[in-house]
Amino acid sequence: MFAFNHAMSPNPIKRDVVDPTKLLILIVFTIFGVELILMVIFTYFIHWQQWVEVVLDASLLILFLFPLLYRFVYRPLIREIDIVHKTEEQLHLQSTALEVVENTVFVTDAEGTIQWVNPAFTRLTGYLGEEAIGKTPRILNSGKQTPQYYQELWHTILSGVPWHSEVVDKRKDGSLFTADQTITPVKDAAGKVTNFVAIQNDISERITAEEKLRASEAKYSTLVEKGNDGILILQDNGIFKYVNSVMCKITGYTSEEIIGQPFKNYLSPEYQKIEIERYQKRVQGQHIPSRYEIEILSKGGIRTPVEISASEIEYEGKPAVMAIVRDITERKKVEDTLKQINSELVDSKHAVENVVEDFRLEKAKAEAMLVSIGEGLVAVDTDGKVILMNGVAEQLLRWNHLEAIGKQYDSVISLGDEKGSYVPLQDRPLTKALKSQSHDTTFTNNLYILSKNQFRFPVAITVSPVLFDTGVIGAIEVFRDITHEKDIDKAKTEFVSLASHQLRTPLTTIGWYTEMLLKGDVGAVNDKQHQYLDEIYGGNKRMVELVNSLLNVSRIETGLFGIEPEDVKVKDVVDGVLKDLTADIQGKQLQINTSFNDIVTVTADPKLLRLVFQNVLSNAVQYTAKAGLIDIHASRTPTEIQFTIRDTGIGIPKASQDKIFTKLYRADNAKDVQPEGNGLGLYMVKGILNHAGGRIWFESEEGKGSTFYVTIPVTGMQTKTSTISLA
Amino acid sequence: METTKKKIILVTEDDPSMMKALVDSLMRVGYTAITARDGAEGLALAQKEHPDAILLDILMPNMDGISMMEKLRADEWGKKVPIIVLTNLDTNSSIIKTILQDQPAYYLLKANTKLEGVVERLQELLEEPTA
Repeated sequence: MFAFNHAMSPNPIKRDVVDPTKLLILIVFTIFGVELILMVIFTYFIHWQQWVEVVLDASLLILFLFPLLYRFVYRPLIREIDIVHKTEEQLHLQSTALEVVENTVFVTDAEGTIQWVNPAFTRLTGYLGEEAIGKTPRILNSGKQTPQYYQELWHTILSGVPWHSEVVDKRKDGSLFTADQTITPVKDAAGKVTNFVAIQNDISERITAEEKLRASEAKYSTLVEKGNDGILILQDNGIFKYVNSVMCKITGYTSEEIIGQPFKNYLSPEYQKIEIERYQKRVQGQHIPSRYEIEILSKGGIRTPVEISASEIEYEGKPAVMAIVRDITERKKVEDTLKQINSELVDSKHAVENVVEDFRLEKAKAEAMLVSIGEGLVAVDTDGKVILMNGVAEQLLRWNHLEAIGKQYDSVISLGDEKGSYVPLQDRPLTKALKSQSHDTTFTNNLYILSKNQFRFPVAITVSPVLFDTGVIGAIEVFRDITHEKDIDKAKTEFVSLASHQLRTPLTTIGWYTEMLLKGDVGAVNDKQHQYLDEIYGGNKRMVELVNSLLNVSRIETGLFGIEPEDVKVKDVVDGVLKDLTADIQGKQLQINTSFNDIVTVTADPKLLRLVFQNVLSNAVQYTAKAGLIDIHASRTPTEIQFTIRDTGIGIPKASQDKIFTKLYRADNAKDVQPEGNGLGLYMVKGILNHAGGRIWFESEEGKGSTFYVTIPVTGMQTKTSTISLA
Repeated sequence: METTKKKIILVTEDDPSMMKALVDSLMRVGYTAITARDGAEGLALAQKEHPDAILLDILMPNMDGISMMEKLRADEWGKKVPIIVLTNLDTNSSIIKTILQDQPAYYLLKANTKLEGVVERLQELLEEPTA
């Protein structure tokens, strides 16, 4: 307990002012005391009458001596009592304070035996006072401190110096706590250490907080140092105050090289000025976008694109700018790629827009064309109901499109043939187109339309099914009044007929009279005359053929000839042609082989088929030398009947092969062999076959022979109506 | 041939040169030729004389050969008389078919036909052996 005396700074006790009441009581008590003592002493040897005298004398003596007593006996005594009393009060106060403080306090003797603990000790360590007292502080030893620690501790405190340290101690329940410990040695008046006072302050929480702080700092440090972003702090006109390792990596400089340098030195030249401006404005509190891209000039002059995310901060008590710097080289690359892709997309978009615009224009154009088309146009749906009718159709048909739309087309367009009979609905091109499910466009020019007001006119009709995806969704009938064309055709036909007639008339006369002369009808002619007449006759005959050919060519070229297919016996046609060529065949002793296999009849215009064979076979005969071979063969493919006419003739020179179907062209070797040809034969054959749906081609080698291939469709020659046939 | 009555052939032809050549040829092989210079005259003569056969041009004044033929074919005699249409006019094949259908007839293009050929066809139609 006395340890506290030392531990506390002693308050000097004030000098008391003497209380008169106390003084009186003191006097009375002193007198009574002395009287009592005298009475006890003198009882044995004086008489009670004498006792009264002694008492009175003693009282007078005491009263006389009291001031002296008071000064040298009572006052010091009262003072001493007062000090003790005050000290006791103070001790009580201090003790109470020790009892209630949060700090753990315990006192040991010089040997270290615990003599006193406060309640905080119990709260912290778990040991009750009675459990601790009499034991040493070793009960708290956690083993976390080294022996040197204790050595040093004892050395310090035994030498009278207080010890201060952090210590990890163990609670009664074995758990550990960290405390801030102060051990103060207490010395007696002689300076000998008599006690130790230990004060411990539990700092576990503080340690935890510090650890947390350290962990947090470590975390942030990791974030700052190990992140992907560079971090920098600028101050004082853009001087680097701080850079993290990432920033160093971005720039290629160490933080020592960077810190203290102006930021602008690490920027590509074109960014320096603007960055300084930005820095200044930002520090002044002006609004600057916090995020933008610049280029850092890294070590070695490498330009590194970065994204800056800057903000104004206070650093070390002064305004500064902190920036997060992100290397966006890769992102730039990606952005470039994206830009390129985007640009391509934009291009594609433009292209698509253009296409759409084109479509729109095309659609508008198509609509304009439909409306302004010079031909009548009627569109029908799959049910044959009119869905569209243009102006020309309205004029020609005398129908208003508003009335016509929704009606069955055959009630709007009355169609008749040349003889004036109505074309039955099922035979109408439009009906066929709706049923066909094909792309085929059909053309007819031999029908007549009877308008609403009963006006009949010839029309050329083109019918096309309208296909969408794979199905027919309707059909379009385009027609035009061909009255004028018919008139012109008629005039042309008449002219051609007349011309042919007029040309042939004198040729016939020449032929017939020469024939009579040659026969000797008007007297015998001599050899020379016969020879001359033969020349006239031959020349005339060629002229007749030339006229025929030219007329045919003109009709083929203008398309003004009819094709009227019927079942034709192939052998009859070929034999007929060969018969006409008999003289030449026999004269040259040509060998003719024919093999028609199963092909007996073909569907063809007999006259045209004859013309084809006439020309091809006559060429074969004419251009094949004596004792040559001509092979006529027929075969069938899935779509065509093919005639192959092979000869062992002079062949067609390579240089002429692409020209032999040209009008009036004759190969040089052909001219040599047969000077009288007109160069129209193959041209005419090709023209006929083109119109009839057939084909012609050849293979040939000069000097070895030619093989001509002629085909007509298995379905037969295509019908073509005309009032004119080929000669 | 001298014992039988000479066959009479009507030649209807507007071109004198050709008419002469045809008549000469027919007479040379022993036919009697009567002539008409247009369709109307030919029709009248045919109906009056009832020739054994007719050579008929198409393009003629007054009445063309096709019309004359149609009229001829309208009566009993006319249906059977052999006719050779002898023309330089290219005719629609359907018309030629009409001419030839079930009828003793030929259609010949003058320029392509020899006089000899005309006589041969005529003799064929008259079912006479070739002279």
